[in-house]
Amino acid sequence: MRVLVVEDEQLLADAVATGLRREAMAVDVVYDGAAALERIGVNDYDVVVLDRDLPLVHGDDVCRKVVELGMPTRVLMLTASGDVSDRVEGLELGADDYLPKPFAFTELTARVRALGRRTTVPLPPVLERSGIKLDPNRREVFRETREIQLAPKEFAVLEVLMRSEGAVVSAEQLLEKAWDENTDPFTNVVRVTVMTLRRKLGEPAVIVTVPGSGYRI
Amino acid sequence: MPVPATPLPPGAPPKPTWDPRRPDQLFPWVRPTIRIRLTLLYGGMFLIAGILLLSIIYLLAAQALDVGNGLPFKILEGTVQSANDVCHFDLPPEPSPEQLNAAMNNCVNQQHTQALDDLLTRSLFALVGLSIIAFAFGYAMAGRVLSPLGRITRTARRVVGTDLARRIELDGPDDELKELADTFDEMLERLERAFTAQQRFVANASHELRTPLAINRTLLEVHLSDPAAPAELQQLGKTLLATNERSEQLVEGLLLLARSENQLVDRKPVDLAEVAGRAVDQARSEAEAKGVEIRAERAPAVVPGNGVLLERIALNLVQNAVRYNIAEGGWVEVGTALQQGHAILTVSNTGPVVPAYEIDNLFEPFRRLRTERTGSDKGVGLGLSIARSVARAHGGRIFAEPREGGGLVMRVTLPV
Repeated sequence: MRVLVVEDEQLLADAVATGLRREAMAVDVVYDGAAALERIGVNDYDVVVLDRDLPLVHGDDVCRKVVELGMPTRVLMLTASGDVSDRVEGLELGADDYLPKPFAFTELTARVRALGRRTTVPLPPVLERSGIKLDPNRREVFRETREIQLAPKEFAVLEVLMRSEGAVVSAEQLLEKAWDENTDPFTNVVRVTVMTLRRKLGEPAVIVTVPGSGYRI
Repeated sequence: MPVPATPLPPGAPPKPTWDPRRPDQLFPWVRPTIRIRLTLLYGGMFLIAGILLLSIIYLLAAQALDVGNGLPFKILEGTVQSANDVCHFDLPPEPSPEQLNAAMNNCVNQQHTQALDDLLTRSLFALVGLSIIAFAFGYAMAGRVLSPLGRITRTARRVVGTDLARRIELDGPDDELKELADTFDEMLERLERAFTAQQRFVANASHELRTPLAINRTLLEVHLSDPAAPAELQQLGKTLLATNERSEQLVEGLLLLARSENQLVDRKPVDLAEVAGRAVDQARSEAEAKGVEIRAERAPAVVPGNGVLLERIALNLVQNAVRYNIAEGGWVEVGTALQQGHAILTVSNTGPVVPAYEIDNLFEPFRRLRTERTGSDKGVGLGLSIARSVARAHGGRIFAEPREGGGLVMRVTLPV
């Protein structure tokens, strides 16, 4: 597994690198955000262990860049700001995990390994397709620049459609992803919800019905 | 995009976005103060009421005189009849001049009395009616003049509750109330600045204090796990890790103390019974190891507050009760209840006798029972001072009472 450690405290960075190498990982170490961006551009890392408070380029911007590039790289944020609001902020930026300092090294190793097991490209935190922008963190939907108010179920259905990135989603799949187990499986609710969703999204229509299969955006 | 590693030091305060001075003053030497307005209002009202009353009485008097002006008699060819309803007299068909005069006198007197009575009654009615109108009008006007006061009070109350960023920003005439509101806004501005500076300090301090501790910890952990390290080095490493962990706990405790003293608490409903339950669960293993029995009698008691901080107090109290207990057969009792608008958390235990004069000292930071500052057992001596400051931040209080035979009863009361 290839890991990039980005941390401006050199002692800490080197200690983490040593420890991870002992766990049979290939580790690169950089001490600032600009060098991190450089390395990410050149190499393919499975996991980036990222401190937030970095010189030259801030850790948050490095994280955003990784998300933007759409690489399968996972980001584990490591930082002394460990309050709930900081953790939430980091995760909303697109980090895959967040570990406040001081931490137990065995936990760091376990988390890095767990992240390394996930190999598909992660979805960006804010989904965009066909002029629609969906932000699950803030529960907001924008069409071009206009904000659209959606009920929770309509939001959930739209999110499933956007996450499929153009693939066809059947009504059963929508029912499975957006409703919980207490729903009658023979219900009409999916069709009704898609209808109201279409109405709210307006013209031109973005949700296409594929006859016999389902819906797609 | 470079971002400074530490936030900029506080410079000049930001200019307020709302300018309290009115843009144009027509007559700068005449301020429409409330005093002048009230004077005009009440003087004007008195004047109008007086005019109204006088006019009514004039009309009534005219009417009364009108009635009283009717001739009491009609002269016919030789006979006399009473002509109005006010007085009736029976005269013999050939009245003598004395009889006539007496009757006339009588009649006129009666008419006078009647007219005056009438006047009195009607003017009394007019007075009552006018006073009702006057009072109603006065009440309405006073309410309008004083409505800015209500706004000031409401905003101040909201600020006390949660939001330091609110300002009153009163518009309206440049009078005493506006001065009061503007002074209030200035005071709120200073308060907000002080709070933000304090919060920023705590945030920075936490970052700066935690980083070297994290470095120590990772260095020790990584190099300790090296199988080639000799035994003495491993032992030294373990000791250093333990010391480092104490420092970590101390830093966390201090930061919690600082934050809980300054934070305007973000309040949500928290059930003390659940909080106490969790604290008991966490302390159970330690209690079992020491042979201390924990008993819990929890009635639901919901308060608005910060769940994390409240759990912290409960855990501190229960842990203290377990640690400062007798060697054998000791117990700890935890109870929650709702009494007279307050939620009460009680933790009592068996333990060493605490003299009454030591009770206050218990709450001082770094104080332990009878030993100067921290000893070497677990904990950093901050638990009770954190508990007191969290209780205060919630608007409540914490009391300690010695128990007969040893031990303490700790009581936390929080307003609902």
